[in-house]
Amino acid sequence: MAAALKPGSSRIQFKSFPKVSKPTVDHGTVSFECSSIEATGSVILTGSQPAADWALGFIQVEWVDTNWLYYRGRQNNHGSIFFQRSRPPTRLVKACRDVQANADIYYEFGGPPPTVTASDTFPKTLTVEHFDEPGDTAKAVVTNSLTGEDNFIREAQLEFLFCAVLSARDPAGNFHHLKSFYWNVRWQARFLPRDFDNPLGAWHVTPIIAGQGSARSHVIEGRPTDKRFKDVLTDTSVPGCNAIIPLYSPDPDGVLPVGNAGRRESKVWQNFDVRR
Amino acid sequence: MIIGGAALVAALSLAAVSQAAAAEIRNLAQPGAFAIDASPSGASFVKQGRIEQQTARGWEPVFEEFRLVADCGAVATLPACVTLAPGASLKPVPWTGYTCRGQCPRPCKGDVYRPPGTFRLVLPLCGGGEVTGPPFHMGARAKR
Repeated sequence: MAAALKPGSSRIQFKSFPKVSKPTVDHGTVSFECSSIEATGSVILTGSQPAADWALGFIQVEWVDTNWLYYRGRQNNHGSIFFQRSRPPTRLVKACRDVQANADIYYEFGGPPPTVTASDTFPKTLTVEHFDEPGDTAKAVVTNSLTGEDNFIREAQLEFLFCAVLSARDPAGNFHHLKSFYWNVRWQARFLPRDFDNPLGAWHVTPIIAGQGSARSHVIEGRPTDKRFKDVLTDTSVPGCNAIIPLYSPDPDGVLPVGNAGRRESKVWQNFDVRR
Repeated sequence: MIIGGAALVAALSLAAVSQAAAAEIRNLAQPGAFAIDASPSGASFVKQGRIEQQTARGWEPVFEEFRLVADCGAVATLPACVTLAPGASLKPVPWTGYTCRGQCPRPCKGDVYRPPGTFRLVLPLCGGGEVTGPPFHMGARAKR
């Protein structure tokens, strides 16, 4: 008799709920930060050896990403810049798996997933921790290439929507999705330097209440059926979420260069369509 | 083959000597904190190094954006090569154990705490070669 998942034995328990912080501007860098989401997942295996290599982990996908920044000069003829950081070519995929390397499936907080060994006895409980604390940064001042003037970040909206799936992997490499939950973090704020001549100093930051917040769903039983991301859960051909960050936030300062399709500039204060 | 092998060993030895001569990495009391001491002839490093973890497969990189800055505010203006004057010492912002925002603020989706485990800092030199720090242990994250 081989080992098997005990029906109804999987659990997800939450430890902490993510709370977004008001964006900050410090020494010319805007930071969008939140506190951590933490959860523990577990499942019981029954039966007997051979059962080595059963594993348990969380698979996390980011299935919606909003990320735009709007800059404008001190006066109308200093121009404006719009950075679209969540549409092609700055984000080539809608949903991505949150992994360190594209070939990884599990999120792997704290190392490889807990795994059954040949000496384990049954019933055997596998327990895995989940943790995330997503965030982003942007430069507070960017030079407008059309006017040659400094443009100052004026408004930004970032939304990261995730689904975390507790999933067991059998010795043959098949994944058994057990439970899942959705969660998200969102920031939207307007910015204004207190002194345009000293943008490295203090700024006014005014959150837009409807655009700031975080949420988490209840635990959902069974295999995810959401067609917006269910095929990404174990598809290693889809690039990982962290691997695509340099497309929208390139070294050294995270500013998309002139000519990148994600960077639009105007000689005046222009209204840009944030949906494109 | 024997001659080639001997030449290779000699070359590796020379490289090790030159690396050892360039600088020394010291682990400080806080795991993930380092002091980089330049030799009397100084040292020039690539602006970012990496943290490696000791695994069953050998040393594997877990954090590849270890910037040679004492202040995260200097990251955006860091030159390609960071030069330490003869005898100078640099204490970069420590590594926290996280794989994404492990040192200075940067965009992150997944941000994973890699310890517990044994780690080391590796710093590439401008012009070739690397300086490898001694292993250090970093423990599990404090329970909150």
